[in-house]
Amino acid sequence: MDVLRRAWAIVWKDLLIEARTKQSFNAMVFFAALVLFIFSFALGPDTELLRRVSGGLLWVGIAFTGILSLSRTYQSEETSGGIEGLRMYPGDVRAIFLGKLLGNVVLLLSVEAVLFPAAAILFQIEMWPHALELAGIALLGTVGFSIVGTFYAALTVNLRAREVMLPLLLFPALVPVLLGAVNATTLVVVGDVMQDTGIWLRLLSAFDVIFFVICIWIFPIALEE
Amino acid sequence: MDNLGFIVVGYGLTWLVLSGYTWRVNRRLESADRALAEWNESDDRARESAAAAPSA
Amino acid sequence: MSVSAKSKPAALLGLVALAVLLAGSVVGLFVVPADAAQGDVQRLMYVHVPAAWLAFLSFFVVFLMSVLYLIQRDLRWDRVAASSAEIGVVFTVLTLALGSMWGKPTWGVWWTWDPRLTTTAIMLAIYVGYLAIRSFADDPEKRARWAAIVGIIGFANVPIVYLSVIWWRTLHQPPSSPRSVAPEILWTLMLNLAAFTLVYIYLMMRRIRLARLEGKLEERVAYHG
Repeated sequence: MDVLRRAWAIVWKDLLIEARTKQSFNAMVFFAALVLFIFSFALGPDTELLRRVSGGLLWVGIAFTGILSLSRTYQSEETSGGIEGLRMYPGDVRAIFLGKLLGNVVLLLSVEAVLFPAAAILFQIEMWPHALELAGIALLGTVGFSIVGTFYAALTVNLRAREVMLPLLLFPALVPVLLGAVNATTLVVVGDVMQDTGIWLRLLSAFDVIFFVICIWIFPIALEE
Repeated sequence: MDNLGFIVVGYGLTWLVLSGYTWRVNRRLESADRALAEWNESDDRARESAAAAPSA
Repeated sequence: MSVSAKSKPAALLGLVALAVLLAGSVVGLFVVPADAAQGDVQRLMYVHVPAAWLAFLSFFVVFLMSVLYLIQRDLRWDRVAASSAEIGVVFTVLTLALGSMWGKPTWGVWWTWDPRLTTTAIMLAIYVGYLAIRSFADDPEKRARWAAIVGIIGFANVPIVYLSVIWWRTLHQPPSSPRSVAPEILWTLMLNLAAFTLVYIYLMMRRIRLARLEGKLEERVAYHG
C-alpha cells in the first residue's frame, strides 16, 4: 500500500538521522536514568518499598522522557521549511502520522531497552525470568503513549506555548495507558497472585486500537491550514 | 444538625458559585451589548460623513 | 437584524430555575429525613450528585457539538461547544469541592481515589486543555477546529479512564455492598437534578448568546483592522 510505503520512508529517514547523531537517544536515556535515581533518593533505601513502586517509577521516567522527545517529532520538517512542508506533502498525510508514530515507538522502545535493566539493578528486581511479559507490556504501553503523543505533537507544533500545552493535553489522555502499564509491570515484578495482569493488558490493547483509529482518522484535520 | 459546618459550606458554595457565574455571564453580555452599540454608532457616523462629503 | 443581551424567555427560565433550585435546597436540607447511617452530612449528596451529572452532561454536549462542527463547519456548533465547556468547568469544580465537603466528615479525608471522583478530576484537566487551546487561535475557524479535535479525543477517553480507575480500585479493595435507597431520598435527588438541569439550560442560553455577540465583535475588529 502506498501509505505504508511512504510511512516507511519517513521512519527510515528519521531513524537514520537519529542513528547518526544519537542526539535524542543519549539525552533521553540520561534523563530517564536521572529520574529513576532522584526518585530512589527521595523514597529512601527501603528496598521492599522500592520494589513495590518500581513499576510506577519506571513508567514515570518513560513518560517524562517521552514527552521531551515528542515535542521534537516534527523538528526536521520544521527547521527545513516549517509545518507548511508537512501540509504540502503529496499523497495521504496519514502516512506522516504513521511514519512519525513508528519512529517515536522505535526510539522510546530503544530507550526502555536500557531503562528496564537499569531499574532492575537499582531496585533489585529479578526481571530476566519475566522478560517476555515485560517486553509485551512495554510494547503496548509505548504504542499507546506514542499514538496520542504523536497526534497532539502535530496539533501543538505551531503553538508558542507548546512546552506547556503538549503535557497539559497529553497527561489526562494518557491516564489509562499509565494505569495499565504501571499496574501490569508491578504485578509482573511483585507477583501476580490473582492473575490480574490480563485485565491490564486488555485495557492497554483496547486503548491502543481505539485511539489509533481515532487519531489516524482525524489527523488530516489536525494539519489543516 | 451534625457536621453543620460542612453542610453549610457545601450548600453555600453551590449557591455562591452558580449565582456568581450567572452574574458574570450577564455582566459580560451587557458590556458586549454596549461595545456593539458603539461600533454601530461609529459605523453610522462614518456613513453620514461619507454621504455628506461631496464626491469631487 | 441585531442581537441584544436582553431576552425575555431566558429571564423567565432563569426565574423558574431559581425557584426549583430553592425548593430543592429547602427540601434537601429541612424536609427530607437524614440518612440513618451517615446522618445529616448525606444531605450534601443532593447537590454533589446533580453537579456531577451536569458536569458529565456538559462534556457530552461538547463532544456532540465538536463532531457536528467538524462535519458541517458551522461556527454555531462551536459556540455551543465552547459555552458548554465553560459551564462544564463550573459544574466540575463544584462537584470536586462538594465531594471534599462530603468526604471529610464521612471518611475523614478531603480526597479519595474513588473512581468517579478521580475521573471527574481528570475530566477537569481535559476541560482546561480544551479551553486553553482555544486561547491560542485568533482565527475563529482554526480555533473551532482545534477545540473540536481536543473535545472529541478528550471525551472518548472519559469512559476508558472511568473503567481503568474502577479496575484499579476494585483490585485493591473489596467492592462496597449496595444499599437500597429510600423513595423520599430518590425524589429529593430527582428534584435537585431537575433544578440543576434547568440552571444549565438557562446558563447555556445566556452563554451562547454571549458567544454570538463576541463573535460579531470579533468580526468588526477584524474587518476594521
